[in-house]
Amino acid sequence: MLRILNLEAGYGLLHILKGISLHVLPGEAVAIIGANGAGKTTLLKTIAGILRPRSGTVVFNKQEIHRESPEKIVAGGCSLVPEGRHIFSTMTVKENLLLGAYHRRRKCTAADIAASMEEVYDLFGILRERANQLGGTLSGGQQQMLAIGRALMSKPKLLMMDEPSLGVAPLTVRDIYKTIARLKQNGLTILLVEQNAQMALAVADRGYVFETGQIVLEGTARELSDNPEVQRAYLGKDYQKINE
Amino acid sequence: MDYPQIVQYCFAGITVGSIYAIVGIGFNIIYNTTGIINFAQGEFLIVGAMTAISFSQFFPLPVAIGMAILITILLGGLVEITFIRQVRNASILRLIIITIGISILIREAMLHIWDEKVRFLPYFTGTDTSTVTVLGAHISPQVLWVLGVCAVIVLGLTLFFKYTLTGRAMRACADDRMAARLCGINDRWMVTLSFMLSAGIGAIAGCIISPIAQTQYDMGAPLAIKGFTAAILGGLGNSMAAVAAGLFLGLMEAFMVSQFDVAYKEAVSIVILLLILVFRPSGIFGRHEINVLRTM
Ligand SMILES: Nc1ncnc2c1ncn2[C@@H]1O[C@H](COP(=O)(O)OP(=O)(O)OP(=O)(O)O)[C@@H](O)[C@H]1O
Ligand SMILES: [Mg+2]
Repeated sequence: MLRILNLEAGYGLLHILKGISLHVLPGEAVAIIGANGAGKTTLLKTIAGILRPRSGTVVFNKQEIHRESPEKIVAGGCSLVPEGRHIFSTMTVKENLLLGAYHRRRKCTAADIAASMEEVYDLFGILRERANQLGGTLSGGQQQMLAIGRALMSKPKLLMMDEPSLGVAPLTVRDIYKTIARLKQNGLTILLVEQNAQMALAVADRGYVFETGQIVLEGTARELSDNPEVQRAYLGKDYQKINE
Repeated sequence: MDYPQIVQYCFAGITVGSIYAIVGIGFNIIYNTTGIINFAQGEFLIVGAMTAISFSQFFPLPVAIGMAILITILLGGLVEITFIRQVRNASILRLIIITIGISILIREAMLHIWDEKVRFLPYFTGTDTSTVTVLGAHISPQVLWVLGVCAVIVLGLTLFFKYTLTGRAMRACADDRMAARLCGINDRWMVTLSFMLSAGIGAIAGCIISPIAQTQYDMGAPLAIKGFTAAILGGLGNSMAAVAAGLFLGLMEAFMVSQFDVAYKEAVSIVILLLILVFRPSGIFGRHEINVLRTM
């Protein structure tokens, strides 16, 4: 579904991604974990077309997309839920969702879009209740749900999520992750970036570990959660070990 | 001053005031999608009116005005595509200065095309001597045209931004540019569209006011200052407030004329501008710049 080869990207003189290669198979959920500033967000922004890579290729659905605009990439079925949610705070929940389906405006009827909106409301019931409330007045967790819902409105084949647990209360995080698991069960391919490695590895099939713009480790979710390095650095198991 | 006279002045005030409001909305539309203050906004009015005047020699008035609006819309799009879009990674301030350059360019071009003569569009209904009586005051039917058309523009824009997908997409770009792009919205096209929209309503305003005000190649800048005052008095980006501010400005000017002298009229907007600059130094750029910083 997604294949990235030797991707290099950065901001101005800053060189952030130093030759990233990874792939995501259809129907798979893949997690990317790594410390702050490792370049996870930079990677997702580059895939989504917000940032231009310096070199390397991104192939999505057998098409090279690394020179495409974000509009083309979304229309092709690759959707990003950005870090920090970025919902339209001055617009209602419903308007946010409608804009998520923007690229389908010529291909679909209003009924199709209304049906997608129902699907999103079924996933996140609170959004239905708050349909006419301004996005900016939602709580952090609700905003995260709205951001995911908005991305789903584009009918993606691959859904990329950047730290969906950021600034969300633990109980809501669990709800969100239940929904992510459900989406996966329904056959959606998922690429997930997380600080919360435990949550991410629980839902993912495979994972990659990022460090300063490079992949230092990869494997199945099981292998990664059993790896002592990962446990020490990302799962916070040190404390337990000392006690043992 | 007797009652009909007061009504008379009030009508004069809200007539120019509604034009200021439309110019102010023109500023806001572009400001909201780009953060740019487009100082060529006043020129759009004059280009629209002048083109309509020229066409009206050959075509019936509605056709001439329709064509003039279309041409001004194209000019607005052209300005964005040839100037604004080409300047990559420029600061907002640089882009604003570029719009000042564009306004000078358009003004000089108009001087060559239409020379310095003062021109008028014919009255839409009746002649310059026909009047209708409203609340005891005799006013030109053109005043009713101005008020009616301005009201339709404001209503139309409100519905457009609120209920159409394209209008919502433009608002989305103003709200969060990156998120809009991630939704599949072509943000560059939305910027072009905002210039076209501003140019279009500018042209309409230029045409409806032309029969009762003068149209001359260099009348754009003073109109832009009034419209700009309305826009910042209402808080940049807020179009409904710009309407209120525009009407207030027009009424203040009419009041100055009735109580003192025409000479004081021009001082009103300058004084308001200065007051805003002194008491709200951050006021001009308030909301949007903060939003931009927040979403970076
Ligand atoms: N817009 C930007 N301009 C310049 N440098 C940036 C920009 N965004 C990120 N960086 C830098 O790029 C590096 C990688 O950032 P990135 O956001 O990709 O990390 P991350 O892995 O997502 O971290 P986190 O887990 O904290 O979200 C950081 O050192 C950061 O300072
Ligand atoms: Mg990040």
